[in-house]
Amino acid sequence: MQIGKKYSKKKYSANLIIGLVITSIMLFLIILGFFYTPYDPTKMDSSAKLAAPSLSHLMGCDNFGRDIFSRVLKGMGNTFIIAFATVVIGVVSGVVIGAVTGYFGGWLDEVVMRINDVVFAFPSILLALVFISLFGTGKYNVVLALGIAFVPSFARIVRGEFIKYREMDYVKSARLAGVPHMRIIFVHILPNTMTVLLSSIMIGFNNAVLAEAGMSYLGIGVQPPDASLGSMLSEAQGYLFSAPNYAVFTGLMIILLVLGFSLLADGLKN
Amino acid sequence: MDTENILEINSLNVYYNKKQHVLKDISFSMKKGEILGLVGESGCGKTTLAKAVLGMQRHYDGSISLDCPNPQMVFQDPYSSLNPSKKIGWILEEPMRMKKGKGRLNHTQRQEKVEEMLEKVGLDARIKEHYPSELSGGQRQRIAIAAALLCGTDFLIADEPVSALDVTIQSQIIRLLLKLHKEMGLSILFISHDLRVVYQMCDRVMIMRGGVILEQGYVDDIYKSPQSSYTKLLLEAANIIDF
Repeated sequence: MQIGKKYSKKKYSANLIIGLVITSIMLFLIILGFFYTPYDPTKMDSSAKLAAPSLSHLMGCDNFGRDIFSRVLKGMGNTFIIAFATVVIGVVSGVVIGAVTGYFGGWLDEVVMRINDVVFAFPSILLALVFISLFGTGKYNVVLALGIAFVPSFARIVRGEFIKYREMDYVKSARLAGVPHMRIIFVHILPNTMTVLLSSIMIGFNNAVLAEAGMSYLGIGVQPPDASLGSMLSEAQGYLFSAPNYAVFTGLMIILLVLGFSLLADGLKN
Repeated sequence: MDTENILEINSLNVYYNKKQHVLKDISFSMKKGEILGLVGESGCGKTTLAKAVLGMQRHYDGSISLDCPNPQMVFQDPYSSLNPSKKIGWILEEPMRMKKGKGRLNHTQRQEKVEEMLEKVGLDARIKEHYPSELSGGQRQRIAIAAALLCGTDFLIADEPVSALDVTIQSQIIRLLLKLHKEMGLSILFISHDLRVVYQMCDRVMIMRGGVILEQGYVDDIYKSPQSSYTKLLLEAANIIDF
């Protein structure tokens, strides 16, 4: 038997490889931060206030004499968990809403998508601010607020894909073969949307990292003495000239986290 | 409904958006084990008629009686008729996974059935480990036919199943459909705009234009003495006026 096409060795894009390397390093540091930090990230040392980077404090110390490297490790973990949970809420709800409305269409699609448009019309950070002002600050409220704000974008992406796929002949064949609608949606069509969905998840993750950092920067996200990259950056701005290492290292970690996932998303898309 | 018939359609009218009258007063019947050709230009309503038979049209009046619980369809485009993210084995097993009760087969039994069917449609059993993107158009169309037959149907609508294939592959698929028709007693509604292919395949033929059936009858009769001027024109265009 002759199979139509023979595939040569797969070539991976440079973006994918660089993204994978950066993301792996960042994930290693995040996991490391859960189990080990060189110093207690909340322990203050008045003798080391705004200390410059040295062998004992790799990234120096903050205004309370806390080790920046330890706080970065802990803060990255917090930021990552918040961004991850946000994306999970957004993706799971968005996929279900987008898949069902895109597949069935009709009045259900019209009603749900108009509600979606209303939520979509507000910037996610503004929506999260309203939520926080109603329900209070804290890690879990940030996750919930950002998660809800992220649902419409995922729903719209998935809906678009389902509208495209529902008219494909293999979907019609499945219907004729008596496959139930839910199985067609989640087993037959959903895997085909993965290329688009995966890169959207990566972009969504980056936006969630930045949104969390932004909210913590504004003082409504992770509360002190807990560390997060956003709250650390917010603190660092007061010492931009006296201890630039504080802002540089914290900012660099946000950049690397976002850059790694962006390159990975781009690589996966290609 | 006559017990000899598998399909009977009386005064069928189909509308798009409740306004556009697409099929107009269609009436015909199809005998069990018959291959009925449906010929007409693009946009004349052939696929709409097929969809109506399969219950995929919402706005219609008239009666459609089909003596087959699970009619199946083979589509024109072999590239969109197979799920690109699944292996051929999975695709062919899927209709059997849907069976409930006594008829339900386990994985090994399903695999055996798939291999049997692959042999029937002239493909090697190893093909089940491949993805559709690794197959040629002809191989995909054979898989689509196999998938339809694994539903256990005895009524198949073939909607221009060879028009996207090159001539040599076309004749292979036609021979395959004829072989399956003989072996399994399949009734086939064969939709095409190619009068030569219809002549090779069908017992009877219907000529359609603008949502209306202009004439129907045995292939030899229609081809030798066409009644409608449109049929004559079609036969002339296909260069088979002296068939």
